Amino acid sequence: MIRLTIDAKYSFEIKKSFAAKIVDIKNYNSKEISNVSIIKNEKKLKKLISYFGEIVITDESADFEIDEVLLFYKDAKKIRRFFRPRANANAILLTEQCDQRCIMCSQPPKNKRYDDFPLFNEAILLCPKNAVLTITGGEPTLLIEDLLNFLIFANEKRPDIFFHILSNGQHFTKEHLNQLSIISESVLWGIPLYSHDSKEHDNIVSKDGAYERLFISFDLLLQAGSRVELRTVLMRQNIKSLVNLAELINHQLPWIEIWALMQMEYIGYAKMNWHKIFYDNSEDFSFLQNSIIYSLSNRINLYLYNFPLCTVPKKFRSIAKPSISDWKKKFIDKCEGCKKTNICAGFFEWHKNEIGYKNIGKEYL
Amino acid sequence: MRKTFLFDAETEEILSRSLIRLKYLYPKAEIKLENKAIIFEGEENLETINQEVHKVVYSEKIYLETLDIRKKIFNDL
Amino acid sequence: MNHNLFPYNFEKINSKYYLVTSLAGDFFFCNEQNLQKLLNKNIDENFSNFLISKNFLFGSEGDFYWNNFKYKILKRKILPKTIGYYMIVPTLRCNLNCSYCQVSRVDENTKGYDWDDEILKNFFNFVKKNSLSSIKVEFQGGEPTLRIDIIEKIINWCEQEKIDAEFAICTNLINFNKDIEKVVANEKVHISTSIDGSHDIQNKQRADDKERTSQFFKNFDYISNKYGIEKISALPTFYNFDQIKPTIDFYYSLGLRTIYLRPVNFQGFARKKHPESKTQINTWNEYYFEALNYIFENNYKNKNSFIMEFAFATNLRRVFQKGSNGHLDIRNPNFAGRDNYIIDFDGKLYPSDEARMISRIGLVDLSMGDIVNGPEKEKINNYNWNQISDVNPDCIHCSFQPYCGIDSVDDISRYNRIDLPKHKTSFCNNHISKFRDIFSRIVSNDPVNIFNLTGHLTNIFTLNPPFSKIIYD
Repeated sequence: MIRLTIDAKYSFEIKKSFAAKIVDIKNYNSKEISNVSIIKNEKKLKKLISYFGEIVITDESADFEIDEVLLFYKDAKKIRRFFRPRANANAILLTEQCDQRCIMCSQPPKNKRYDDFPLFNEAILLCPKNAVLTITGGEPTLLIEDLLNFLIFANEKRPDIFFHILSNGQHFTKEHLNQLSIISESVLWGIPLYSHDSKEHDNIVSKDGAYERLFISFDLLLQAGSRVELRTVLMRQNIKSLVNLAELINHQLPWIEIWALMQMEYIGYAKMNWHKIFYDNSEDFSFLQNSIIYSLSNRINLYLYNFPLCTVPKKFRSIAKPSISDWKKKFIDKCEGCKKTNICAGFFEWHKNEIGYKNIGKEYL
Repeated sequence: MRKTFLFDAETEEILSRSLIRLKYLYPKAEIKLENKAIIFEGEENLETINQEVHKVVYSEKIYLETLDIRKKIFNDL
Repeated sequence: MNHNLFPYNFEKINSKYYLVTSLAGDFFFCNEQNLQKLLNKNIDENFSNFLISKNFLFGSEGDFYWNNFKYKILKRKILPKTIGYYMIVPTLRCNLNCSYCQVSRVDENTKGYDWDDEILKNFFNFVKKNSLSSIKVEFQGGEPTLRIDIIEKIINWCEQEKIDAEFAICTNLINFNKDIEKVVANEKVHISTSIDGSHDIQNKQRADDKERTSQFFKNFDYISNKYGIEKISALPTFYNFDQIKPTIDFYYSLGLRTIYLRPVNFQGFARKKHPESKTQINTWNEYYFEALNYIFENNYKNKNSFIMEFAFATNLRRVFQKGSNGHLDIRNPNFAGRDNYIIDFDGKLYPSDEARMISRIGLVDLSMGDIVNGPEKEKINNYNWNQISDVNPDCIHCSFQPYCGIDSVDDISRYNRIDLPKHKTSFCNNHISKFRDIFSRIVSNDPVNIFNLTGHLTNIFTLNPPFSKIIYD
């Protein structure tokens, strides 16, 4: 597992939070160091030189890259890794507050916020060309005004940067239409919809009226020309009615860009509720097959996220994506000798064989 | 065959448009509109004409009733 | 919610059911009684919920259902704004002399029927100006491999300019030498050829020379063994309809994955040598649907080797897959000069292959400029005004209009005019019968049909249906 906050010792006091990017020392003259660049000193990077002074990395496992963007917080000892060019995903955790309590939530709500938009504004300008950033929570749109302003700023200064924002879609209103429209090309909203049935969906997210409120948001997003990735985590509660959801998408949400069917993460509320909710597709793929065929027939852009390839029938493997972020991804003992690990989603860091898929391994490939 | 089709519930406009269309589709037949009745006289098969006359009238009905919507949608596009 | 109906149409599909389609292309089936209720707006809560789920009802103008509906219509009409497809005729010369040749080919040794350097240079400039980074190029003729050098130059140029291009060469595969193989070996190159049947039929209808026909099959085997059967697709031409089933069997035996069933096209030489092709649509239809059933039954029985029938798949995708607007044969609006061009041997630009064929025989000049001087905007606009079915008095009353298309060129080639009542035209009759067949199969509940409907939509043949809850009872 890769850590995203790194311990360090500073030769100076951080009076104000700042963002900086790592550049190659070979291309820099010490007189030219600006307060936004940090020079990589050695191959096995243990010392960074900044405008303000030296930073010694005390975390043995940290391995920084050129063009990486880091955040330095006032009075804090840790460095936060904002953007890593080689990562398969770069996420900004905006807040741990959320107004829903999904039964399979991998990040149960806490009363903590991590937003610092002025700092993020600085950091965004330093990111490499065509960077893709995920914004997650909790629920990012609890800070919708600041968030939209940030996205508008980014769209203006760095139109090449693309955002993938995970949101429960409960907070969009008419007043946001204009801003949503401006940023429509550079943002993909990842929004969960768990069922075609309002009661079923509301139960899963533990909030009455969530489904109805969500469809008000869908209307606004459609009007704004927004790009939407619909996300459906599979569980025993919604697997049987999955094809009804496919039908709803076909007739009433045909404009969405992606429909992601997702397997669960064994962490947070999901871990708590696992035995009541986990659906083992390696044992029975039939409900999924029905929905996949329906979707492909009607040209719904369907993908499978977080499914180990050996649990998916051969004819559908091309839609199973290696979706797990590298910092929380692993392979298990059964994967030894498997030649498909480079294209397989693998397993979550906290996966345990005894509670997971019954039929996994090379022999199922 | 000769048959009279009564369309009490439909409007003049629907029926007169249907008349024009039927005449266009069946140039050899004698077709008249009297009050709310379409009178069809021709060589064609009764069952076919039964179906066709109803289809034409209801098609025109739907078209006229949804014309406004059609216009608005295409205007936007 | 105050319920309002979107525009829709209906059609009797079998003895029990009517098909109801909306302007956006959603559909369902119901019996006569329920249709009457719909027509009289006598809609109870049950029916209303069903209609809402199928996007037939809306509350108020501009609401979520309305925007959704608009989106679907747009999706069925939208055409790309840049040229993504080029059909190139590098030469009209051909080394065969098939009686049904649609393009009025010229003899192999005739001069003056090839692309020259100026045309090639202007083509490159044209692509740079009008295309984005991804294109499809199809080579037709004559016999395009007679100018394999031009094909090679174009492929190399695309690679050089970092244009992501796919190539298809339509060839009779009689000559196959090292130069041709070098091009064919490129993974971006696909071959399309004619196989009318096994040796005797192939020989009779095409080369009329046993040695050359044997050479054809040798070349075919060589390519499919070395590069895989996916490298080649083939299509047959029938004027003897009794040949259809044996030819289909032959296609299965060769491991071919697709077939395109069509009668002799009423173009080129066929107009003189096969005059019956002008009006034979009804006889053809009978044979066609019988052949389709034959293929479907074989697919269902074999379960391991499938053949997709291209014409069926094309119309089927127009129903289920909004946005299938790439086939010039069936789309609406069917504009010229938007996303494709045919570039003839003399550099002239045409809106479709059929258009170049009827221009060549002097029926009408549908050229729209040339590659050197550019497209003629006015001609293109005049043509395009007639390529919209939404304003045609016949099409607007048709239940299949959202899925169907419009083709002035086909009408001109057969009737010398484009204003005939649609139901009197071959194009309309052909597509109505295809759509009626498709919807009959959908409502039939027959596993053989489901198996093949799904297979033709997804390339995956299974019994999972591509639709759900389509009958309102």
